[in-house]
Amino acid sequence: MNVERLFRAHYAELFRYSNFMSGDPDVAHDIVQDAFMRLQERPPKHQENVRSWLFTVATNLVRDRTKLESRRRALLEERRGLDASGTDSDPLASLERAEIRDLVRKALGSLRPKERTALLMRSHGFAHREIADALGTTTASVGTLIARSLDKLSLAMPSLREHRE
Amino acid sequence: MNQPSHAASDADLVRLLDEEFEPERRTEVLLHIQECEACSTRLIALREIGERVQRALDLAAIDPKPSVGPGARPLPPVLDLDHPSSDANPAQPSRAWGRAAAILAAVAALGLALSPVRAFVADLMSVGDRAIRGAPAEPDLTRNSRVSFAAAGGELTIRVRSIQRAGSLFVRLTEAERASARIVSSQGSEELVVLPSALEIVSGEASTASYLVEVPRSLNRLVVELQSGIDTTLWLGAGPPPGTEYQFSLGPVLEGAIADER
Repeated sequence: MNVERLFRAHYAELFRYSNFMSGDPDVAHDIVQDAFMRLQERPPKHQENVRSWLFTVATNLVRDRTKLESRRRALLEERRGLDASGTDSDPLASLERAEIRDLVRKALGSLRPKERTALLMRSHGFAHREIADALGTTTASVGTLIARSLDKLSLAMPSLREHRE
Repeated sequence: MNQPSHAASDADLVRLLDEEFEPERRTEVLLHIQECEACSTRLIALREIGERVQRALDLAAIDPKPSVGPGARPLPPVLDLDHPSSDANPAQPSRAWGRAAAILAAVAALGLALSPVRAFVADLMSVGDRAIRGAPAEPDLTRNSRVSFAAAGGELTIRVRSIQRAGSLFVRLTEAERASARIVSSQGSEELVVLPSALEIVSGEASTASYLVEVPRSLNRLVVELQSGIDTTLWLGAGPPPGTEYQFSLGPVLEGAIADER
């Protein structure tokens, strides 16, 4: 197994996923590093779908961080101010992105962990079978989790359509 | 949703959208949707919410900071549909295109005439491209000066991938559990790329940048490699004290020394 090749192929998407799961880019970075370390040290027995394995490991790592939630909330508050100040040359564009990120973070935070995992893995193109394996549930439950999470997000992000269109 | 016994559940509708059904079951659900306005309306709603959420996720995504990981280098884009990854298990793009094509084909085959469904199909076809090819998130440039990482298996290799004109590489032992690296002085084109058991320093040949890498004292072995092939292996297992710092002069040859031992 060429870990470096896999790292280069999947690092970015695993980072984005972990960032949405954790709400903290630094935590996401650590999680991705740990996931690849685990891949190198204890690779999966069945290597036909390493991508799914990596997402499952990242999901578990996020879940295992028991202190993550409180830190995430603190960072949300902190970054609200930082994002609003922005670093882009276009302050309006920066503010808009910051608002969207804040909105999405809050909305994802309103989901139960399984709902969040199902939704985000779906957005990364995983099949229901793979999502079910990661969650330790059935494929039938995955559809329900996704529908429920979409309904919740719809309520949590009512202004997004108007925001962008 | 309160429908007759044959009604499609939310899970069914999501599975339909995601092309998760076997052909026979999919036909059953599609036939039901043809007859059931409530289900067709719900299907459209789920698709629209999903599209909206996907767009929001795309807009809110933060890519890895440029100095970390393969994103810092011209690698094949993971989600580029035009240049799919050659990996055995390539990253999957959004399912929108697959959904649109498959459901369109199914609806056409069944001759569905319900107007919301037709509108839905037409919308699916127009939405797919937007959902997949939305503007990528801007990289977060606010925190690109420092990277932290774990050294896999107690070993770490620092690779200087380009021959710099000058500069220094400082390696300092700490009690921290994780390693970290940052560019001390820069000309703007230098990058730090973290790999599972290696840190790569990538810069132009004209660079005179300097770098500080702090590594856990518990590290067993540290290797510093230069592209020219000259490398230095530091065995740290014996436990030099925290604060010990190795300094390497970067240039055509790598010259190393212990710069500070406390």
